[in-house]
Amino acid sequence: MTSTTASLTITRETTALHRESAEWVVAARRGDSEAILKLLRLYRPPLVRLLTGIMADAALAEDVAQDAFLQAFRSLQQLRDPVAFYPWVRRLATREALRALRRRLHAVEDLHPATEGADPAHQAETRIAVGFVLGQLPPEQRAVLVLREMEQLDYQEIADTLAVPVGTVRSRLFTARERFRALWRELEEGV
Amino acid sequence: MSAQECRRARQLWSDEFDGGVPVPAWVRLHAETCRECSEFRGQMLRLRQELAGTPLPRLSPERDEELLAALQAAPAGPGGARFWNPFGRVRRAIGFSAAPALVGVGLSAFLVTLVAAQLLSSPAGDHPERGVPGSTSAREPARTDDGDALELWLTSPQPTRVPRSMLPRNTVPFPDSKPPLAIPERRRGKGLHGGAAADLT
Repeated sequence: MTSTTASLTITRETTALHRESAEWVVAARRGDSEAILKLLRLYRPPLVRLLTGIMADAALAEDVAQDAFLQAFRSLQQLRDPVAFYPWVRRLATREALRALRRRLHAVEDLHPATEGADPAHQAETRIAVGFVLGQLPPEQRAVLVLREMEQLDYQEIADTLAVPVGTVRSRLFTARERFRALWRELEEGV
Repeated sequence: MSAQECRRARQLWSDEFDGGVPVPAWVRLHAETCRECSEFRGQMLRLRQELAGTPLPRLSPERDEELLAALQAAPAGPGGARFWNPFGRVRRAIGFSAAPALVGVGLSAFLVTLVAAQLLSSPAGDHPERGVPGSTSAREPARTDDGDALELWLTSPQPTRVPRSMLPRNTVPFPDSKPPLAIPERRRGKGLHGGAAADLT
């Protein structure tokens, strides 16, 4: 097994894995505890990673992921295609994450603990700078960027996840990139 | 080089990043000469590398167990998986088979009640005075005739006076003198297949 497969990165290349997990979904519908645990072990890490990217708060992301899984398992009978389990949970979680962000309305600095106590302009590492700039985007723009770049979803999949038209996804992505560029420039110029 | 041109160029870069058509030649030429648009492309590529390369978090396995425990403890919503009730299907099957039986029992009880009510309100039991002239039995409905109306003892406790004008002309007034309904003589007609008619009488 290669390291890529071991890392269980959820992309379109892992469709076979989705199919395998579909059997666990069917078993989970019957209340099979072992199948539920397998699904949690497989899908909770990528979901928390995605939500951390959107929410810029790892602890909050874990809470939202947990709520999403609870909701998903409790209404598992409504899922028609077991192969679509992860996209379904991702949709539930992403929407809940955006709702939570709107509710919180915290200051942008509080949303990204990684930058606490540091001046990003003087950080050499690109990761921190990217995280900092990303954390300053509005939640909706951050969500489309993360879904596109981290999950590698296409426009239609992002539209399904966020319940918005495809045209909105395209324009929101461009707006997010423009905003990202402007914020990055401010960061570099030390504004 | 206008701001509008730059914006259009970045829009086309953005589309290309998302798997759209490759940018036209003029956009590539533009990026070579425009610092802002060139930076934009570089920033977006870095953003992609960073986000796609974000490692998976190391999560506590205990949290999975807690989640499972929460699922087993809390009831599911309508249509949800019923983790706490492994006998749900058996109970549903019993319910489906019991429903018609219950309907049958209810219907039978209703019919029995109806019959009992009829028997209890019978003329012989409650109204012995209904043994009127002409009746051979206390249960038999009796009739009297005063010329203008017929007094009929039906199923009600009291006799019902019905004016003759309201009755059909061929109503038989005195069943004790002759049978109320005379059986008409019948002649057998032709058979369906043209057989010869035969007199019965």
